Amino acid sequence: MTERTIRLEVFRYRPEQDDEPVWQSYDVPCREEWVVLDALNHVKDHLDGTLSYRWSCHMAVCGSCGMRVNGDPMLACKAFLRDLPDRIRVEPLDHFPVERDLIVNQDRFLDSLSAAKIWLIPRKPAPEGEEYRQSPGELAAFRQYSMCINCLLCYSACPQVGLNSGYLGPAALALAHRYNEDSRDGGRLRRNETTASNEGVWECTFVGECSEVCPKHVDPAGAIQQMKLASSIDWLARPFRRKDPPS
Amino acid sequence: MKGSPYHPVMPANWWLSRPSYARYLLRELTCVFVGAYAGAWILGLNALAGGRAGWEGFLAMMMSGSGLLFQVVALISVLYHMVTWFELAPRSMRLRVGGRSVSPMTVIVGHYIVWAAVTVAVLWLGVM
Repeated sequence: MTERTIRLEVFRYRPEQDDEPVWQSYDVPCREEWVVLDALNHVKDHLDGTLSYRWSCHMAVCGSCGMRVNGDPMLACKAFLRDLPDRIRVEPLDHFPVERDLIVNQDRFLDSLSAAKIWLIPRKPAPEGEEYRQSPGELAAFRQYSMCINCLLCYSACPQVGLNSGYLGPAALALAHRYNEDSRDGGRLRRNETTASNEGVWECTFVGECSEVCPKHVDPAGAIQQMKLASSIDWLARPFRRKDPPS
Repeated sequence: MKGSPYHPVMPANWWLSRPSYARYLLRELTCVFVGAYAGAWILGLNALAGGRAGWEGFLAMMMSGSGLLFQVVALISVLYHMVTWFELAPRSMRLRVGGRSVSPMTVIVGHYIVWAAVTVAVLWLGVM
């Protein structure tokens, strides 16, 4: 049963016809339990099939539907209409080139993942015929940072991402920290080549909004501050190391 | 340009777009007064090295109307800087004791206890 009609103002950019983005409004009859993604799907299915946006799971797991709702970076599948006013403005994530409507180009983030070496670099080979073993404490050291779903809300919330095009960004650095803190990993010094460079943690000025908007409570701001301390210690210890790690 | 991705431009007043950005910038701005206050005392040391007259001149400058206003602004700035950084401290210090995480509140209270201890120590040195 329809309970309420909202005015959805959507950022539209169709590169084949628009020189600049335009706003397009839709009146959407919605239900109490709907989220913004439901309203967008209603537009797509019933009002305007040309509207483009990303989504997949509808349950805050895939990280596809990140966008700005009334200015705040949010997952559209987690933004309940009952918590929002009757007039809702939907925009693409900030600080990324817009390919079409609400779809941003994610190349910068994907390049940052590669630059920060977001994978396990084993400290030593796994025991013959066995798997690595970790204690609950060792798991707790990095588990929080492994919850990232690559939704990019933290990039949209971070002014440093917008001000510095070379900055690796909150999620890539938090994921680097995730591996640095993993007891099986031995790649911290190799990651430092980028994460402790002038494109990495030292570009962060601790605005802290990345952690505020994170839908998975990863706390990238905290991870980055801890990386600053660890990389400082690594730098001080450098004269006492026998050799630098291979690149 | 038609046919290519749209590149949004970050406005100069981006820090007004969210209250948290403005609070962040205010926190950063307090650094100016923290640094200026430290600079003032370096001037004071220089005046002290110049002899009694120089030191008394420095004290007179600090006790003047503008000197007192500067110190009040610096004090407010330092306190704001301290409170906001102490609030952020638990994120930087992820402490574990006996296999359990130390709570953020414990870290914050610990900072205030150390601050109070250092303040008392400095005051005690001043009285000695």
